[in-house]
Amino acid sequence: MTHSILIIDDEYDIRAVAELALRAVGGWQVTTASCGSEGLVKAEQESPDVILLDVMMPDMDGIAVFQALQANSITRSIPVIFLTAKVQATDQRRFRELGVKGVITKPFKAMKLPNQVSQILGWT
Amino acid sequence: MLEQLHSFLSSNPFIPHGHCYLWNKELVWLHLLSDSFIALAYYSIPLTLLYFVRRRKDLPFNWIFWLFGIFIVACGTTHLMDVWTLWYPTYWVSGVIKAITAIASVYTAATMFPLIPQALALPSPAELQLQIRERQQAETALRLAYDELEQRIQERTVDLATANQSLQSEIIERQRTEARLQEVLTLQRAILDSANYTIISTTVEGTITTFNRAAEQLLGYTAEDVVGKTSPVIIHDREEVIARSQALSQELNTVVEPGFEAFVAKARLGDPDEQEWSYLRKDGTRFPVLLSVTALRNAENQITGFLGIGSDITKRKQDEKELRSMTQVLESAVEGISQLDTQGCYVQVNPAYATMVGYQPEEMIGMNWQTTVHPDDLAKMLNAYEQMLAQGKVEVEAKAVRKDGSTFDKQLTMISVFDAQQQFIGHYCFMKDISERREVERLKDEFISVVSHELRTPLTSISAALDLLAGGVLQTQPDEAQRMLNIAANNTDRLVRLINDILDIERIESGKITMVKQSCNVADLMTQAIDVVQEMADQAEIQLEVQPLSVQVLADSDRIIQVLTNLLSNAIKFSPIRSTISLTAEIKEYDPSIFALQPASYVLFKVQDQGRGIPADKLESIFERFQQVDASDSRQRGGTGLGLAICRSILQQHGGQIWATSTLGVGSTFWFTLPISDDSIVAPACSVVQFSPPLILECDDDPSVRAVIQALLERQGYRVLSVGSGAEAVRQASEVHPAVILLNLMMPEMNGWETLAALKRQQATQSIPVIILSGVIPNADERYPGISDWIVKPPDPQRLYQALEHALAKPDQTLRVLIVEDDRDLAQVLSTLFTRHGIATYCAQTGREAIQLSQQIMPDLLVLDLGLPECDGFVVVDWLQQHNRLCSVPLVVYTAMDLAEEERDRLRLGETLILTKGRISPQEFEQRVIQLLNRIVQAKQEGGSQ
Repeated sequence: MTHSILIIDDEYDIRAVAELALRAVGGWQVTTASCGSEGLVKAEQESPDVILLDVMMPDMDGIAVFQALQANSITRSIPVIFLTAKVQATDQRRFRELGVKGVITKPFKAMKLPNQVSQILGWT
Repeated sequence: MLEQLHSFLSSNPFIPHGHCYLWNKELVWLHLLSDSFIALAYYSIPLTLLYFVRRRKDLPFNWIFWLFGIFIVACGTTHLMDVWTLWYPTYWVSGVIKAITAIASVYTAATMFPLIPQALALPSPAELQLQIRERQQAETALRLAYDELEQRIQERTVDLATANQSLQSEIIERQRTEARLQEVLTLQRAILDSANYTIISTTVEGTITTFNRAAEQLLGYTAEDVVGKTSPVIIHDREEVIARSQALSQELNTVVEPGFEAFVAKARLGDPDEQEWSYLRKDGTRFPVLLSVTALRNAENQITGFLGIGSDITKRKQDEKELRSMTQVLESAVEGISQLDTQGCYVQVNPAYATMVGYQPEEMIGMNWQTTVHPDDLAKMLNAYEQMLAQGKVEVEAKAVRKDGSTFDKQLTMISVFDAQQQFIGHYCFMKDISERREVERLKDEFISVVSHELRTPLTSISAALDLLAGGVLQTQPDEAQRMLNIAANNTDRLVRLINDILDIERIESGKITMVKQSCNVADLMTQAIDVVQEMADQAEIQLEVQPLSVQVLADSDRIIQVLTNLLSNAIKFSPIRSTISLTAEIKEYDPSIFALQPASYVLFKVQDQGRGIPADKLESIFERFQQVDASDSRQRGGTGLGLAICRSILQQHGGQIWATSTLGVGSTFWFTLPISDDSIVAPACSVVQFSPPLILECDDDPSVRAVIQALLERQGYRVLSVGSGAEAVRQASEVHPAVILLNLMMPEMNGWETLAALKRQQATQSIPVIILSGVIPNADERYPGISDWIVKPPDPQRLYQALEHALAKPDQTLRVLIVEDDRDLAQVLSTLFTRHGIATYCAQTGREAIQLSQQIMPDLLVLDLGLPECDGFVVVDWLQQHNRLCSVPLVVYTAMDLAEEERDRLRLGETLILTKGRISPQEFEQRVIQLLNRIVQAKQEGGSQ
C-alpha cells in the first residue's frame, strides 16, 4: 500500500535525500515543503498519511508548526514525526510530551528511513 | 718634861676644896649637886645646840653656836672641875680649864658684839610673826596656788597625757603615712621608670621638670639633657606644632602661638586633650605617639605645671593601617563577604555583598539570611546550613532573591566561626554572583547545541545520500544517483567550511590569534579580494566594479581580504543575474570633538549590491552567529551562517567597525572602517605630533600659477602654503618656518629681490633656502648668492622636484643648529656659542617643540638635553629615528645624567656625540662641537659637489 508523506524541512539537500529515500526505498508518494507556512498549506490540501517535520527552522519552528497542525481540525489527525538534529534527552522528552508520534534523529540512515517510519506508525 | 706634866696633873700640895666647906655634908652636897647639874646642863646644852646646828645648817651665824657650844662646854667642864676639886685639888688643871673657858667666853662675847646689829636686824618675833603670818599667808596662798597649780598640773597632765597620746598616735599615724608615702613614692618611681609611657612634666612656662625612663629610652635624650633646660618642643615636629596651633586657634577662637602653648592650651582650660603627634628622637628618627596632656594644680587650683603622657602608637598605627587596608580590601572586594551570628542574622556585610542582593549595607544588619534566598532553593540552603554546622564549611549554589524581587544565581561558601573557647559564634558567608557565569555557560551550551545542530545538518545529507547510493537502490536511476553524489560532495565541502569557520571565530574571539598587522595598501587588498571572487561572480553573471584607493593602513592583509571576500561573496549570492556589485573605499576624517584620541582619519569601505535587500529588523542580527535573514538558501549557496560574525570579529581586532544598510527590493550596502595609521610612527605619548612632509612656502602674485604649483607639489607629497605677496611671504615665513621658499620675481609692491632681501635680513628666515620660480631667465654669468636655485616658468615638474630636494637636502651654507634645552640660561649660552661661529641657532624648550621645529627647519646639528618636561630626550630621539631624513642628523647629547650603555645606544641618529655636563668644561664642549660641525660641513661640501 502506498502511503503519502509530507516532508517539511528548510534544508534543500535534506529534503532531496529524504524524498529520494522514501520514494526509492519505501515506494511512497512524497511531497515537500521548505517552511512551516508552506507545510501547513500542503498538509491541509493533500492530507498526507504522515508528516516528517524538521524542528530547527527559521520563522516558524517545528513545534509551532505542530501546534498549528493540531489546532487545525483537518490536519489534527495526521501523525507527525519529528526529524531533528536535536538529540539531547531533554529535547527528546519535550517532543514526546508534545504528543508527536515519534522522533527520528539526524543523521538518519536513508535506507532505513521508510522502515523507521513504518515502525513508528505501526504500518506493516 | 714628864715631870712637869706630872706635877701639873698632881694635886700636891693643895687641899681638896671640900675642906673649905669643912666637910659640911649639906654644903658639900649642895655644891656637888649644883655643880654637877650645871655641868650636866652645860654639857647638854651644847649637845642640843649641836643637834640644832646640825639640823639647821642653813642658819646664819652658824659658827656662833659652835662658839657658844665650846664656851658652854668649857664652862661645864669648869663646874665639873669644881666638883672634882672638892676631893682632888688639881687646881692647876681646873685653873687651865677655867682659863680656856675665859678665853672662849671672851672670844664669844667679843664676836657677839658685831653680831648685835646683825641680830637686831633679825626680825623681831612680831616681825617674825608677821613674817610668819605673811609667810603663812603666802604659804596658804602658795598652797592654794600650789593646789591650783596641782590641779592645773593635774589637768595639764591629763591634757598632756591625752595630747601625748594623740601625738603618739599621730606620730604613729604619720609614720604610717610616711611609710605609705614612701611606698607610694617608690611605687611612683617604679611606675615612672617602668612605664611604657613617656611621662614628661613641665613647669607652667614649659621647662621640663621630669623625664621618666621610658621617655629617655624612647626619645634618646637623658633626663639631664632636658630637665630644667628645654621645653618639649624639641621632641616635636615643627610643622605639626604649627598645624596644631592653627587648628587650636580656630577651635578655641583665640590665638594659640605655635610652640609649647599648642600642647597645653586645652589642658589649661581643663579640657581633655588627647592628640596624635610625631615624637622626634635625638637622632632625628620619629615615631607616632598618643599624647595626653593635663594641667597640674595645687590646693588653690592654680596651675603649677603640665603633665604629658605619651604612648607609642607605632604598633597601633601599623595595625590601623593594616585594618584600613583590610577594610579597604573588604570594601573594594568584588566578592560578597558577610558575617552572621548564631541565629543566622547578618552582623556585617561588605558593600559588594549588599549590592549583589540589592540592599544598603546598613539595612542588612540583623536581617536573617533566609530573606535573600529564593523560596525554590530554601530547602537546599537550609540543608547546606546544617551541613556547615556539622562540618564547618559548605559550598552551595542556589537562587537568590534581591530586595526588589529580582533573582540571580549565587555561589556561596559558608564557614562557621568559633571563639577562643570553641563556642560557635556564627559564620562567614562568601557570595559570588554567578549569573554571568551561568549565562556564559548557558550561551556555551546553546552554542554547542547550535553548532552540533549545524554540523549534523550537512552530515545528514552526506550520510543519507551515501547510504542511498550504497544501498544500491539507485542503480536504475543514474540521474538521481549523480544528484546524491553531488549532494554528498557539496555538503562535505560545506561541512569543511563550517568547521573551519567555527574554529576561526572561536580562535579570533578567544584571542588565540594575534593578527599580524603590517602596513598594507588598501588598493592591493581590494584587488586581491576581487580576484578571489571573480570566478564566482562570472558564474553568477554578476558585474564587479572596483575603485581601488591607494592608501596605507595597518592591518593583517589576509584577514582584511577575508572580510572583503566574504562581503563580496554574500553580495554575489544575493544578487540577481547581470546586476552590479561595487567595491569602493574612501578616506574619512573623524570628528575631533568626538574621537579625541583616535588617529585623525580612517578608510571607509563599501560593498554595494542590487540584491533583494535585508529587512530593517535583521540588519543587526545578521552579524550574529548562525543567523539567517530568512529560510532561503544562503546555506544552500554554501554559506555557513558565520561569515558576518567572523568579519565583525576581525574588524574588532583592527579597531574598525562593520554595519549594513539596505532598502528592500533595491539592494544592500555593507560598510566597514579601518583606521589609518601614519606612515612611520605611532605618536609619542607626549603629544600627537604627526610626521609631516616638508612645508613649501610659495609666493606668486598670480593665483592660477599658485594653484598649479600647489597641486604639483602636493601631488609629490609636499605641504604647500601659498601667499600672494612678498610681504605676506616674509611674514608667513617667519611664522611657519617653511623648509623652502619658492619665490616669484615679478610681483607688485614688493618684488622678488626685495622679498629676498627682507627674508635674509630676518634672523628667523635668513637660513631658509629660496628657489626663484620666475618667467625671467637668469643671467648665466651672474652669481646669485642667497638663492638655492632658479627655475624658469613654466617649470618642468621633475626639475622643480629636484631643486626642492636639493634645497631641502643641502640648504644654505649657513649651518643650522637646533638646541633643545629647557634651561633658558643654558640655552642662551649655547646659542651664543654657535652664533659666534656664524651658525644659525634655533631653540626648543620641550620635546614636542623639538620634534616640530626639527621637521620645520631640518637642522644640520641637534644639541639635545635629555631632561625635558613632557617628553624627555629619549622620546625625541626615538621619534627622530623614525623620520626618514632626521634619522641621520648629527646629534650632540649634552646632559647632566650619567648614561648606561643601553641608554647611550638608544641615543643615536647621525653622528652622535654624548657629552656630560659637569664632566666637560665649556671650552672643551665648544671644541668638540665645532670639530663635529667642521666634519659636517666637509661632508656636505663633498656631497654637494656631486
